[in-house]
Amino acid sequence: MMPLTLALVLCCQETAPQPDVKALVARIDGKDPEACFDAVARLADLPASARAEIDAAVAAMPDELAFYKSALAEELKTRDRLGDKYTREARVTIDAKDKQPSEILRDIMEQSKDRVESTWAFQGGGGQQPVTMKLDNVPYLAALRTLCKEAKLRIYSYGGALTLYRGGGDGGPTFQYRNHLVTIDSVQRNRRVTFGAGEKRSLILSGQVLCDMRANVVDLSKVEAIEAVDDKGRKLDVLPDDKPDTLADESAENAANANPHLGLTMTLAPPEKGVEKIARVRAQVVLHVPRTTSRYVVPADKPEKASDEHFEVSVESTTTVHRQIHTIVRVRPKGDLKAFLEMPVQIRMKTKDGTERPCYANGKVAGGAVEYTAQRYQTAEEQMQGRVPELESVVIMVHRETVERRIAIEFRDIPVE
Amino acid sequence: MLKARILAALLVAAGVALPQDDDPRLAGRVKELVEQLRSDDLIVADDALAGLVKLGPDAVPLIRESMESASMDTRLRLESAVKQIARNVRRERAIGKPVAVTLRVADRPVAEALGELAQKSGKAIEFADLPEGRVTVDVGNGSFWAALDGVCRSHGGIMWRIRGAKIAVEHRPYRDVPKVVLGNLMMYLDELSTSTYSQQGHKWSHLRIAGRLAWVEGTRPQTATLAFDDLEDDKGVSLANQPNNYGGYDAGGPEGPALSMPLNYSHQTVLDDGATELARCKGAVTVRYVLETKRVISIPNPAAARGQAFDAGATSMRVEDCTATARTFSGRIAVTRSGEQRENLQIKPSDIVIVDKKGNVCPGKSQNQGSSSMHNGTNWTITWYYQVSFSLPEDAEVASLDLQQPVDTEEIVLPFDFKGLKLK
Repeated sequence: MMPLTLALVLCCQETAPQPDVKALVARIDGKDPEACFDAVARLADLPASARAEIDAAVAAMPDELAFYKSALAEELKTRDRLGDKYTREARVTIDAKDKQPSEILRDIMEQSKDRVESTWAFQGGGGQQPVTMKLDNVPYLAALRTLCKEAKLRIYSYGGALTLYRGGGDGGPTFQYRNHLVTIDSVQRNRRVTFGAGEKRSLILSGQVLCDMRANVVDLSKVEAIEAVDDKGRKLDVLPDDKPDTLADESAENAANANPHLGLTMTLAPPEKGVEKIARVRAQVVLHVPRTTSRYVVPADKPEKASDEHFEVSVESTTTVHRQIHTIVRVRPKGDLKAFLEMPVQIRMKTKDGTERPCYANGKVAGGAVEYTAQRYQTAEEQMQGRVPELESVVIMVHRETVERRIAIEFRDIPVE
Repeated sequence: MLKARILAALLVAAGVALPQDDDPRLAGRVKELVEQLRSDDLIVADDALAGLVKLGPDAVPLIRESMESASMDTRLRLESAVKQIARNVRRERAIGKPVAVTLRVADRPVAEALGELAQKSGKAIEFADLPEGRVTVDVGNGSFWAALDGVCRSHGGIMWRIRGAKIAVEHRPYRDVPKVVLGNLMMYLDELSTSTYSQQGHKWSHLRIAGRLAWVEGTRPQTATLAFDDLEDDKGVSLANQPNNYGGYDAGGPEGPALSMPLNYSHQTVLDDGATELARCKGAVTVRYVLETKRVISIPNPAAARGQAFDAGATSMRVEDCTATARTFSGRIAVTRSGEQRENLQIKPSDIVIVDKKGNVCPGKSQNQGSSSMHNGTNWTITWYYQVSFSLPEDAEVASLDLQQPVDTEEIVLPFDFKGLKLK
């Protein structure tokens, strides 16, 4: 009986009413980037049976929409490659009238399956002016952004998880796509004189990629700006990253970072005087997602070494100070240390309440191994409930192989003056 | 005589060779200078004192011997000579002997010239796959850095680079950076960047000049500070007229072995957009060596002493929190000091050190994280907070966390006056 039930469920899923492929493709008109990318995301989430129809509709799209066509093609390719690991977009429906922001957030979290950390925004009763918002079947990040705008909150990435804080201004230009929020936090007109080697002038857009834990991102590899146009319609050249060309460094090879690096910069030729805005910037963000991961769990009460053919992992010390758990983790590769330093590492702490949270961690090379100092901060929820977290185990993940995940991004009207 | 033996032992420990007791020429010279020291003519006596100091540690036992029969006045002068010799020994230990190089090559393959420089200076220079080329350099009894830069300049297609504790020469265009060489030290300016930021409706400007102080192995200073007296672009914009002129590097220096430290200068201003050169760029780098320190407070087994205050007079230190293993220690340290003069209560981050079980002082990264202060009408009480991080060598173990204070320092000033520095 069970297999039949399962077959029926699967059959129902496949035959459930689907959004009209043609209508979704028609929304990709290049006018509103977020609407275009929402359509891209929804097309990518359609069942495999819709693929032929998608391909046919996309083939008919005009050439001026090539950027979105390639974004969709890349998304479909990623979906095929990641298979079960491909994260479907969480969508939510919110109908709130004069509700406390914390209640709306809880609603978003319930519908999106806890993608947002309990937050500091409402600590001490702050950020609690009633809010009215009505959204129908929107990406959960869009709902979160609307809530933030209405309740004057900001979204941050906190140790690899999203959380909300109070205040902090309106925020810079933001682009949202699936599990990712991409922000431009500052625009910098830069003139760098390298003595004895000349000068470079550039416009640098700096920001970050914020993603929830389900985005499964371990690192930002690079940002490839594709095109930029100023408000006078002139193209701005895309330049290589403006890195200092110094004649000395301090043992840079000694550092090993275990925090996902998600800072983003795009370097453009500086616009002429009088230009007030960058009308459009299009780019591809290249992220790393894990392909092959060695995962080690070291219990806090039995800090024995975990070992396999790749690594020997030990927890050297663990202390709880001011409700923060500090630990020192040592990872000794059995192969090439240099190759190991290229591999993204993530450290998480599992506490006795059953939650597993990412940590901030920095590593140093010492005697053929890397020693990571990792900290897990008390969450807002723990603080509000007066709970001191108790460590159960330390989870160390070494991503031996990663694959690239490309997402297209587009910003409009970035102020430069 | 006992004091003389103790000093002699110290000098031996410092690696200073002591004379044979039966060196008649040295004994004669000491006798002669001690005689002159008794002169009523102050100039003669001062010259004699300088002469004795110049004889160095070899002369100390003989000077001590001559104290036994000297008058009080002469005895004081002789003690002064011994103290100055001892200081010179400490100074040489900290600052190192100047590495003087003579490199005279004419139309020689670059690899040969670099090899000769490495051999004559005793300093390793890493290079590989350099483009072929011949160089001509004429440095007589000069600095290692001047000779190295001379080789790169003569070739034109290679450039030196300091990588941690290594000196490398790489295949890249030669850069004639503004620099000053003094003995084993070289200061140079690497880059100037000027930026205007827009962020969420706010706008601000920022100018930064990044340089570096380099030294040769064994002559690492504790701190270096870059300051400008006059800095102006060719459009007349003064870039040094703000008070927040800061520089230097007092975070315990770079971690691990290193041959350079950053020199930074910044403030909220911006070059004229059309400026093509720095018309004036005058200032100095002040390099500080610590010759002798005094242990003020020592916290044994600091990982186990969290929250416990350790006092010495009007100074108190405690470990607020920490993470540690046998050979690493990182955490937050609070140091409280009281006194009438606020400016005398400052603690430099580099004054906090770890001492290992063999008694070696191990510097690490230390950063000031702010302070709190109170004044009761008479005295100031200031608590300074520091974030520290120490990583000891593989075979070392943490014994104590110490607060040390320098009791004898030596400053070396490298003045510079660059005119017409090109910005294009």
